[in-house]
This record gives sequence, C-alpha cells and structure tokens, in this order.
Amino acid sequence: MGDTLKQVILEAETLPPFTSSARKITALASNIDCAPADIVRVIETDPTMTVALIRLLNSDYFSMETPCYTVSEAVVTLGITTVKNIALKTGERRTLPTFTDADPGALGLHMHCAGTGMIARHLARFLALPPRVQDQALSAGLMHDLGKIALLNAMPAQYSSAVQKAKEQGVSLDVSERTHLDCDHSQVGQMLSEAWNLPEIFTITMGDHYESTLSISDERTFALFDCVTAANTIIQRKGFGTSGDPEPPKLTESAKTRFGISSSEALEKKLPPTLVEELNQLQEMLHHA
Amino acid sequence: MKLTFRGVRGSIPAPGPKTVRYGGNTTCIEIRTDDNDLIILDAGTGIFPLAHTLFPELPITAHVFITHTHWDHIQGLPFFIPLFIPGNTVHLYGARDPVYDRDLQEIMAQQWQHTYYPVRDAELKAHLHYHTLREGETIPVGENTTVTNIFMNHPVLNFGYRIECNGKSIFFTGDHEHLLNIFQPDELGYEGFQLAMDEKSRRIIDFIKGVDILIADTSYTEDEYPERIGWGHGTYDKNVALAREAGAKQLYFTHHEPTRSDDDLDTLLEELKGRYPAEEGMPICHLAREGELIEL
Ligand SMILES: [Zn+2]
Ligand SMILES: [Zn+2]
Repeated sequence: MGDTLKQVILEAETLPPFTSSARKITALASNIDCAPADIVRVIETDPTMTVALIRLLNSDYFSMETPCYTVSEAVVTLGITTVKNIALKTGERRTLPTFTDADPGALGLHMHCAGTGMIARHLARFLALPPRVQDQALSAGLMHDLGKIALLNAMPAQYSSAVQKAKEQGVSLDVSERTHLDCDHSQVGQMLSEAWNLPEIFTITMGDHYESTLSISDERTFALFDCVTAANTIIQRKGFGTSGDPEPPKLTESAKTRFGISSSEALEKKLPPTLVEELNQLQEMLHHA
Repeated sequence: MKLTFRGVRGSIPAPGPKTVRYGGNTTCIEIRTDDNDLIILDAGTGIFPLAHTLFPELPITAHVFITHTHWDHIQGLPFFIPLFIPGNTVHLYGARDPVYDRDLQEIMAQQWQHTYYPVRDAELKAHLHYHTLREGETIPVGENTTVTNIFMNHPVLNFGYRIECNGKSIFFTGDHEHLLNIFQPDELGYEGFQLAMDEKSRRIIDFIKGVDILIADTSYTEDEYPERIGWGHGTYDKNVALAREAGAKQLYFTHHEPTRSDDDLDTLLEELKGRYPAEEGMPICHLAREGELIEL
C-alpha cells in the first residue's frame, strides 16, 4: 500500500460528517421531543454518520447473525437514543472542508451523495426488489463516494486541487486523482469497506462505481450495484450537486440490460414523477441546516 | 433455583409509608442456583439490603450481571459491602458502550471517580473482575447453571438475561420497551423498518420461549404510555402479550413507577386480572415485592 493510501485510511478513523448534517442533528437533538424518524432522515443523508453505524454493527462486538446494511437496522438493534448519540459524536469532530472552489463547505458533494442514495432506492423499488433491499440501495448509493470524503478529509488542499485539475484538463476525476495523489477514490473506498468489514455490496459500490471489474457473488448484489451506478449517472445528468467529475459517467451495459432501456433519459422516465419535488426538498433540507 | 427480589422500583428509590409493602429500593434480584451459587441481577439500591444478608456466608463469590448502567441499576454497587472485605470475589458482567467505545470497566470507572465516591476501585479489598459481554455469550456459573443474554430495547444497550439451572429457567428483561416503527405507514422506510423490527421481536420471543419465570419492566399502564413513548419501558398489557407469546408460566411485573403507591399497584393488578381471566396459555401474574422469596 502506498504511503498516501495508508495515511488516508488511518485518518478515516475520525471521518467528519458534512457540515449541514452535523448542524441539523445537533439542532434536532437539542429538543428532547424530536421525532426519531427526523433523526434517521438526517443520518440517511450523511455517508459518514451512516457508515459509522453500519460499521459498528458489522464489527466484532456485535457480530450479528445477519449483516447490517441500513440505519433502520441500526435503530432496531441499538435504539434511537444510542443511534442519535453516535451521529452526534461524529459531528463533534470537525466537519468536512471545501470540496472545490465552486463547492464551499462541500455542500455540492453532500447533495451528490444524498441524491444518489435517493435515486438508487427508487431504482431498487422499480426493480421490485424486497423492501429491505430497497433500503440497502439507499445506503449503498449514499456511501458510494466515501473514498472521496476520506481523501478530502486527509488531504483537503491536494484533493481539492486534483478535482480542480480534472475540470481544467478535461480528464476524468479518477485519472486526475491517480496523477496527482497516487491513488483514486475507488481504491480508497474499497479499502475502507474491507478494513471496516462492511458487507460486500458496499465494497463493490464504493470500490468500483463505473464498470464492475470485481467479481459479484450473487444476483441481488449485482442488481443493487446496477441501481447505484445508474443513480450516479442520473443524479449527475440532472446537475444535482457536485461529484467532482467533469462529465457524468455513461450508463453501464449491465444497467441498460437490467432496466430494459437504452439511454439514461429513458431510465429517468421510469422514476416516479415526485422525484423532482423530492430532490427539491432534499436540497432545501441540506441548505437550511 | 431460588429467587429473591431485593429492589423492585424503577428510576429512583421510593421510600415512605405508601411503598412499605412492595418496597422502595431500585432494581436488584438475588438468584441462588441449586448449588447455592450467587447470581445478582443488577446493582440498584436493593443490593445494599442484600449485602447485609451475606455476612454469615463470607467469603463469597458473587456473579453480578448488569442489564445496563443507568443509575437505578448500578447505584447500589459502591455500597455492596463484600467488595470491602478481603477474600470475597465479585464478577461484574455487562455490555460495552458503543457511543464512547468503552468496555465495562471503563464505564464503571466513572462511578469510582473521587468526585462521586470516596473510594477508588483499586482500593477495594475483594477481587473485582470485569467481564464485558457480547450478545449471546453464555456464562457458566458453577456446575449446572448458565446465564445467556440478548439485547433488548432501551435508550442505552440493555441485556435481558436468561438463567437456566437443572431444567428451570428465569428471564429478566432489564429495562425494555416493545419495539415501535418510527415511520408512518405511508413513508418510505416504513416497510424495511417493520421487517427488521419483526425479526428482532421474534428473536426476543424465541429467546424467552418456555421460561418458568419472566420478570419484566412494567413501568406504565396503557393509558400512561402514549405520553412516554421512547422512554424505554414496558406496560402491563404489552408484557402479558410477551409472556403469552413466549409461553412463560409466571410473569412478575417490576420496575414499579416511583410515584405508584402500594394500593395503586394492588388496584392495577386487580384490574389486569379482570381484563385477562385465567385460561390456557395465560401466565400467572404477580407484582414483584421486595424481600419476596420464590422457589422454582
Ligand atoms: Zn431502570
Ligand atoms: Zn434504564
């Protein structure tokens, strides 16, 4: 492992959440009567808070009969108060710095992550995957760029500059990352998922969200993977948030086959008409924390 | 196996003329195995009167299982006198704190901190051993007894403990509120939560299956409950339902509200017996009473 990669993984032990979710959770938690669902809805927009819970429940101490994939599952095991306090504790760390010059406070990256999660869940619903798997799609979509968050956390200035250079030079973000940082966010994501003993779906979606080069063990995981890659394409084509990539990724062949469409426009038409409204609400929520 | 309630009150001790019959000390249950090994469930203030009964048998070995570390379940521990007498051995068992990532010893260290208590645990004369338990871990006590645990539902990690000895069994919930879906039926996430929740409830029922005695946190009535959702405590009716589903033979209500008088408790039990007449599958219901000895 390169030194950079080692450092990034090490620093990810205290990964901070996005500014707006940290503020929002603090505000909610200062009211003793706040609704548990509101707490969960905030956590479900933040990759750091969500992964803190999923990682904990897949750790040695908990060693559940079935792996934990979602915030809801964490609430069922730990109770809402413990979940709330774990989320609050991630926010006691500093929050994430600016992603690119055009994205102060990384709000754009936050929108990208949360929006991908939202659309991935809708796509899983479209595929009529079971309800708990639909919730897994939300977690997987939300966390797919955890590698970016870890890079931004460990080396804010260099990472921000690699993102900037991708744009200036018209190369894809991972090419720019590898050129300027000696590693890319997919590598980081995969290593984090493995180091934290996350279920396979997260290793795959955090490790390779363009075209799967990893072997995928079962059909359901493959379906989830397709939901996440397609959501990642759609959210960027909609111009919602900032992924750091100059161009939205193309829809993968396996996603085209799975959803029975030939273009991402066609796939967008399969999403519920309420999506635009939901994305507006999400944007509103993240902005007004 | 023998069981003696040493503290049956929830939240805070409730001494006074209105609680003399059922008792005012907070949670503590003494269990004696068939080999007379000593198991103590929780170290609320009830552990203090228990300690006084132990003098004739010193030195002792005590296995103290903590359901969770809220005050009312640990407040008596620094006053467990055998800890100050050489030759005694105390094993303390409990969960980790996943929020601050601390094991049982680190959690309890706060209680022995000089601003709260004059003695540090390093100064205790007895041998005190801390055991941080994982869910499902089985602890043998003596030759014929085991203690196993399961996570229940409370604002902090809380173990329910099942004690088995020569074919007889006891389950104590610690503090526990039945699970509740946090989403509305029309909200995204409702179904996934419900399925996860049903799975967890089923695991709890399977774990309790067939116990001779179920001791359950019964803080509230159904009427009181809507104002106390999420506080982490059970109700009379929910516990009757749990006992029936698990096929428990006897059900002891405990963790009585500190404001509840002896007469209030008697009235509640009478009303409950009116609502649930004795029939096949209905457990025999009792109010846990401080000092009461039950032989299995
Ligand atoms: Zn209590
Ligand atoms: Zn409690």
